[in-house]
Amino acid sequence: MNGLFLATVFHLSVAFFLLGMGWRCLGWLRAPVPLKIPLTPGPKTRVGVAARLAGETIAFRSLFRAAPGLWVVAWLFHLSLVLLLIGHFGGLVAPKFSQRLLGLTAEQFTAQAQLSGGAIGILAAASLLGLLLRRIASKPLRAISTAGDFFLLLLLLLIVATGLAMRFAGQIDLREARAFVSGMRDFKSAVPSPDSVFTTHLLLVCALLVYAPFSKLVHMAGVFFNPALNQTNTPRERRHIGSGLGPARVVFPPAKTP
Amino acid sequence: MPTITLSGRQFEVDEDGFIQDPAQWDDAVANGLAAGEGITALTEDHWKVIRYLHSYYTEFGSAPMIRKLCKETGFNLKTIYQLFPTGPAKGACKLAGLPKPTGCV
Amino acid sequence: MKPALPPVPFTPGASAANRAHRAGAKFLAPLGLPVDLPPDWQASALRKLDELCQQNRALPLYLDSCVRCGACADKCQFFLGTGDPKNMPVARAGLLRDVYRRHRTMGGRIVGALGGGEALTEQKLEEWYVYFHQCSECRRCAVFCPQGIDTAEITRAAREIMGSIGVATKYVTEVLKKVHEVGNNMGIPEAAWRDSCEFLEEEMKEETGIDIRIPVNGEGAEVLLVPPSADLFANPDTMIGYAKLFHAAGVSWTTSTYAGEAGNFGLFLNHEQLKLVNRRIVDAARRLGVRRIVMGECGHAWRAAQAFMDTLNGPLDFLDPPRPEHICEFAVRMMEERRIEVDPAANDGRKVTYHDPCNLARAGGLVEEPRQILRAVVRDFREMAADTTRGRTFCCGAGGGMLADELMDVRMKGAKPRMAAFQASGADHVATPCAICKAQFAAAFQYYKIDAQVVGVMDLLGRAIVIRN
Ligand code: SF4
Ligand code: SF4
Repeated sequence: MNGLFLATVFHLSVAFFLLGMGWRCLGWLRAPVPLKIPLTPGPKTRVGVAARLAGETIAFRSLFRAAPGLWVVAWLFHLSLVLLLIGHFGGLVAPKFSQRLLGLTAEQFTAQAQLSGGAIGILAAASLLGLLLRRIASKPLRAISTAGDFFLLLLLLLIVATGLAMRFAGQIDLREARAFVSGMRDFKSAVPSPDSVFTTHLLLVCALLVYAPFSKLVHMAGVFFNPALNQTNTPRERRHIGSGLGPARVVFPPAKTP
Repeated sequence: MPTITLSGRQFEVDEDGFIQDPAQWDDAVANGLAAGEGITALTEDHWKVIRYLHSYYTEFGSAPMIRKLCKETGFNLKTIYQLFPTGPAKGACKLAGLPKPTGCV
Repeated sequence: MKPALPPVPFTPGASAANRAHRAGAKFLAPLGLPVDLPPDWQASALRKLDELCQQNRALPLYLDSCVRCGACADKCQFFLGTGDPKNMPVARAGLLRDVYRRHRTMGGRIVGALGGGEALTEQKLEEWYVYFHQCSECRRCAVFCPQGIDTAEITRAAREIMGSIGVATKYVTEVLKKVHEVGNNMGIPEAAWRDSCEFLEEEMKEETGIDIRIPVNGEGAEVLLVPPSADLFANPDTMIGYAKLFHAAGVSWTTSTYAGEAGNFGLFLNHEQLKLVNRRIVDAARRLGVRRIVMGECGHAWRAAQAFMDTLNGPLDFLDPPRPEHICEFAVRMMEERRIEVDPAANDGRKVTYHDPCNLARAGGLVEEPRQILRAVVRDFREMAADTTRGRTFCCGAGGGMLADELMDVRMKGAKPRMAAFQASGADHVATPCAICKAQFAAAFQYYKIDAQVVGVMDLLGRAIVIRN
């Protein structure tokens, strides 16, 4: 497929994703937090709040306490996503830099990219399948799952599957892929897409990026805005100025004074 | 508002069967409501509790503290529950024509 | 150790028939709520939802960012007890989320089906009414949710929306009406209030031979004590505990018949009532000229006071320090300053455990003080299992405006996890500083045929405190 076209679609998708997420965050930010509602016992300092949020977003602390089995799968899935993101960036967008950073030869670098990419891809696929099976197999989970939940899992599975296909079935030429990505990055040439699987992979990612701001994927940003987690537990140390939720209306006979 | 008919008279009651207007209350009301609270026949002991509750309500505008009820009638809480299986705040107050005590109890 | 109570099977609709009595005009009108469902009720409910989304960040945030992982599902005592899938916090929130996605989000409008949206129909409203009154706003789900989603906020919003179209429970609105007209939840008028206090004074005189006062509307006292009015009806020993504590510590205090209620049922209905009820305490404290507000043994009262009072009706700079204090904090301070002495022998023979009221633990940050007191006044103090205490405490099963008789079935089912933990502890007394918990425990002990007693922390302190003339 035409490289310039793909590049345009991809860049637009990324822009859409960023703007969309920003717009969702702005939407939340526009609404005030009228009351102090931190979950207690909770941190009393900003540092403590940062630690609480870090614990939730890096270690999934609450999930660990809630459901250790799910925690393993969910944490591995998110970990693989992050690693894949780093890997794609390091291996395709900035290969020279990454190679130098790792201190490897070109061959070594390619070999390790193939190896780690494949391994993490399998991990992502396995954990996604686990999440999907869980949604299907468990009665309570089936009851709470929406069409959107399955759609997202399937979309992600397809993305990972096409990625793995490039790696294992008909080895993609990394040099071609890099050339395409750098062409895309710089908008300067119209390098054609290496193959149709690559094109599919990329377009699916674009679909995910565009869908994300409308979906539960906003949780990646939302958790940081959650007053139950990000407020300090200091209602009595400092006055929390809430917004006015309209003036109180009094319809009672005048109260007796004590 | 639901109503009930006791010995030919109509009373407005709330969802739980408490009569709405304590001024309408008399012995016939207590007798009429007893069966619904799991009491076969009102004895002197029942009446002691009922009369105390009603007179306290008439004077103070609310049910007395449960401990005061026990002390003034000479019955401990267990006895009161034996007399009124649904308890002092439900059965006893209902028979005495008080509005249902609600709040955090 | 007795076996834990058996788990309940997953049963759709299991709890659908358990509804609270609807409030009629008599209780809605005084609160400024419409007495009938307005003809355009759908539109006005959606407007209210819109309004709330613009006024409270948590609401749209929680509706948007739930990932339906289900981690919260088996954390709610009402799901554990009833097995009704709609009592899973995620599904409960889903009742509002469905409507929100359909009407408020672009995603919902564009990709309707994928967004999982549903219209606000009469049937939906009925589901809201049932299941948003089977949530005690206990926040236990939030503790386990990886996003920290607090379904209690969603329940509060749903109830506020319903209230705005005249749909509310009789229990909550009747209590609020009494607060405004009489000054407390029980509706105890001043004469009865005074009579009850005098009665308890006599009781204490008989017991100790000393005049221990329970002052009423006393001006210029150091402390305004705000108890739940239930203490003056059903929990006399808690009341006696407060009195002995202030007496022994030599701190002048008073109760107020204008603010004779610690509890704030506004928390269970809408923001306006939350603020109005809360203001009564501040106004009473100002008029009586006290220097401190001390909150009595009521769970959600502490949330409304410690977390919201300053925001809603502050600044509280006429107080010193400018914040409300909890009776347990006060007692601990008195113990630490050696202004009171206790003798735990007075409570010998009691095996006591502590139940954390949800609002104290998860919304008020008060977990250590009651334990400090109990350790000092009881020799056999034991904890229940760690995953049922402190921040992870189970709700007693009747908080959040659920302590209505007609909800007894779901209340007793919701009490199950707590009862199981209590039985496993081997205690024969549970101490808890909350009037709702006390009433619920008494009922649940009877229901589950557990031979045990529920008491206040102040009850035990009152027995152990050394009284001198
Ligand atoms: S734990 Fe949180 S994110 Fe998961 S389903 Fe429950 S509310 Fe949603
Ligand atoms: S706040 Fe409590 S009662 Fe309500 S859904 Fe969450 S766990 Fe259940």
